[in-house]
Order: sequence, then C-alpha cells, then structure tokens
Amino acid sequence: MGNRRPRHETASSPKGASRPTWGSAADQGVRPTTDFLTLSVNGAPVTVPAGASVSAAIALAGVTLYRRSVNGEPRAPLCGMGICFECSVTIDGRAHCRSCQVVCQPGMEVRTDA
Amino acid sequence: MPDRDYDVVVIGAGPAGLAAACRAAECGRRVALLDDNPHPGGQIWRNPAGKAPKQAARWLAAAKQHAVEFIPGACVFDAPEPRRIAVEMFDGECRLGYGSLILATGARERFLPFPGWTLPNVTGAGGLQALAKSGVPVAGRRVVIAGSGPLLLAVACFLRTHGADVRLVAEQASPSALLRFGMQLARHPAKLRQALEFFGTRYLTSCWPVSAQGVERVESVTLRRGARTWTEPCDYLACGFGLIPNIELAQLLGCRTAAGGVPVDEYQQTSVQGVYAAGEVTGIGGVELSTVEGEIAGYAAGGNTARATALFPARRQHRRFAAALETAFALRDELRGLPLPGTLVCRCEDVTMERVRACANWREAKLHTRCGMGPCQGRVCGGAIEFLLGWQPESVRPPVFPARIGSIAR
Repeated sequence: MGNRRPRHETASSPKGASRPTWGSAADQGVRPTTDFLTLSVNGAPVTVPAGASVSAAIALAGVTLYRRSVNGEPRAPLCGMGICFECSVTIDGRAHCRSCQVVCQPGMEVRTDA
Repeated sequence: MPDRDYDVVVIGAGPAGLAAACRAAECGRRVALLDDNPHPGGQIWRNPAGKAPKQAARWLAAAKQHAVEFIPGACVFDAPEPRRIAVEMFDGECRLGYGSLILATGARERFLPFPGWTLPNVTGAGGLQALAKSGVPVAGRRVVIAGSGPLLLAVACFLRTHGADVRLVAEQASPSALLRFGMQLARHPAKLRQALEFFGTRYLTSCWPVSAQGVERVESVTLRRGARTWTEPCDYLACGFGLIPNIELAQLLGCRTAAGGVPVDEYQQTSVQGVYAAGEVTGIGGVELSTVEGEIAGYAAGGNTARATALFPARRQHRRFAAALETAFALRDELRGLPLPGTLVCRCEDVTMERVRACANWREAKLHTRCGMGPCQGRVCGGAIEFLLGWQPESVRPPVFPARIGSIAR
C-alpha cells in the first residue's frame, strides 16, 4: 500500500453502506461479528446484527409488506439482489431506496408503504 | 465523490470482477472496482453475516495487496461520452474515466409468472439465499424451493444449514436430462460433492409450481408432477428458473450482444475496442469459468497477453461444463402455460399476461401497456417474456438504472 491513503478514505462510503475495507471483508471469514445496532422501522425500534441489510431489519420487525403495487397489491422482496425494486422503502426521508442493497446504520429511520 | 480517471475500471465485484481487478492491478495498472452491493464478492461470495468463503478471501487479500480501489454501493447508470461512465451512490454521483473497461455484471435469476407469484414471501431461489445472507431470518421457516438448475441444490443446502425447514426441491428438468448431466459432473468433483451433500431433502424432478396461495403473504404452493397436483404449505416459496446474463450495460456501451450473453474474443474483449466482458455476462457457466475469464480479461486489459493466453486451456475445460449445464436444465415447453390470462407479468406496472399477449412485439407492449417501463426496466419481466413469447430485449436507453434527477442533469 505504501504511501497510499487507507482504502476506507478513498472508497466512497455512502451513509447506507458500512465502510468495507478489503481487510474487514476478509477478516469476517474467521471472526463473525457480534455487534448489534438499533434503528427504527415504521416508528418501532428494532435491533439487528451489524452488517444486516434494511430488508433484514424490516423482516426482524415482523413487517412482511414492503410496498403496495399500482393496483394496491401487497409486495415484498423478490430478487434479493437489487434488480426488482420490490423492496423499495423510504430511508431517512429518501424515497425509493432498495432495502436489500442498504446496510443498517444506528438510528436509521425506515418506512415501508404499509 | 469527485470525478476520477483510472487505467482500468471493473464493473461488478463477483468472482469474475475480483479476478479481473486483481490481475490488471498486478500488471501495474490503476484499477477501480465498482459494485452496486455494499460488499465485494457478488452473489455467490456474498458473506453471510461475516463468513467469506475461502476462495473469496484469497481474491480479497490480493485486491488489497495490489491496491485495487473498491467503490461499493455504486450504480452505473450511463456512459455519457467515450471512455467515461456515470455512477450514482447513496449520497452522490460522479463520472469515472477509463482506459479499459471490464464488464463483470454477472447474471440475475429468470422468474416465470404463475398465479400468486407476486405474493410477499414468494422470492427468487438465489433471492431467498441473498436475503438470508443479509440477515433475513429463515430458521424454522417452511420453505419450498422450485424452478431449475444446480442453484436450487446450493440454495437448499444453504437454507438447511441456516435452520430452515426445506420441505422439498422441485426441479422442472427430467431425470434423464439430469442423468446425462450427472455423468458430466463426475469430471467436476467439487460440484458432485455439493450435489451429494444435499442428499436428504425431497428432490423431485419433472416437477414445478402452478400457483401460490395466500392473502397478505404466501401460505401454500400447488405443485404439479406428471398427472399429480397437490398443495404444500409453506412460509417461503423460493423460485428461480435458471439465470440470465445482465447485458444492459454492454448494450448501452454499444457492444454486440445476444440473448445468451455478450460475445467476446479470445481475450474476452467485446465488439467495442477496450471494453472487455467476463463471467456470467458472457454466458452462464459457473464460478470457475467466471474466475478464469476474469483473470484473462484482467491480464489482457493490463497488457500481459502471455499470462492471458496461458489460461485458455483452463477456460476451455470449464466451458464444457457450461454447455452441459445448459442442455440438462433447458426449460420445458409446458412452463409456457404457467401464466393464466389474468396473471401479472410486469410487477412494476401490474400488466397482465393477456394484455401483453395482445401486442405484436416488445415495442408495442411498452407503448400500449407500460410493460417493462417501471423501476426494474424490464429486468424481471424481460426474462419471462423472452421465454414465454420469444421476444428479444430491445436496445436500452440511459439511464439504465433509475437515477436521481440531480445525478442525470449536471
């Protein structure tokens, strides 16, 4: 690495993503994380393991309905990998966020269309 | 994030992209590796709450050693000028310049519509695995896995290990097709082992779902096998009918594409000079083929053609496996009858099968019904319609992913 800046400073770290460094991703292979954090889903607090996606927080909060379709049908994640947009929710006031692609942060406010 | 220039930009941090980025960086190139996901590893090496598989750890360490710059949560939505891409993140956007570009955009699952497939907790097969890896609880949940391909077995193994009550795996392919595939498997011991490990849960061939029932979420699935039709209760129905390559970015960049993937030359270069493609985006072939293709693309983009050439024999061997895979798990004609006239095909715009069927082609369907015009931009219904009606996806227009106005207009 020499005089390069550490990876976590050069890589963009959106608020919604944890700050992955090459080290941490590899380390996790041998040392499972035991940290937890708390955020809110539809106003109710939910505690999740660090690294969990917002989809996971919604499921752990006992919510199965993520959005209503244009005809009012209940919908929830289909693809789990950022393609289908069925898991779209509002995160910290920002609408249309794919909850499967965003990592939970402490204090995050998540709203589903329920 | 400010605009930047790199020698090599790799899009997609799965096995192909990681290998490509490492090999190009090893050749002394300044490399950026982008992924839409928050972590590297792609779908197959997605770390389940902190457990990266050994093969992934090797490439992650190499990426760190060779100072590959990882940009997570990065969604490429446009290529506004030659050798430049537009990227959106959760909290901003930027333009990245490149000398060479390597597309390692992977594949997605093919979903087929049947009555009830839009109910909550009806997911992709790989989809449920991805959700479980990201922390969605599956322990104690009754799961039926259906569709086609070796992924169903891998998902069944994974979910069982994580405490799910996997009721059965329904594979649409016939036992004779699988037997031929099994003989091919003998030459690939790692894959054979994975198939055997699974030994335990009911694995039914020539079997597929015909409907899912439930009110606010799925409660049961009706399956068909030969003349027999029966209903299984479940908390999750995980369905995937094989994989389809993510070719939208290649199309946007003007690369020649085909339904089966992006055609490349022996150095993994597409029809556009300086744009390479590696892994599932060039055709579905599994992790070993993806990795070696990534290495070849990375060496080629890095200017070391000798190293790239040395890997040709390995690639040839893995391609034979890919060909066997395609034959064994070809989708049967009966599945074209899965959607009823009133079944939704386009989930974004709630467009039914009968409305799509009344159109002559994709263009007409888009104009008259808005099919494929919602947020997923046809990524879900496109694969279904290709199989059901034989329509090939049309050309793409930027933004290839929904982007904020501020990202587009600047």
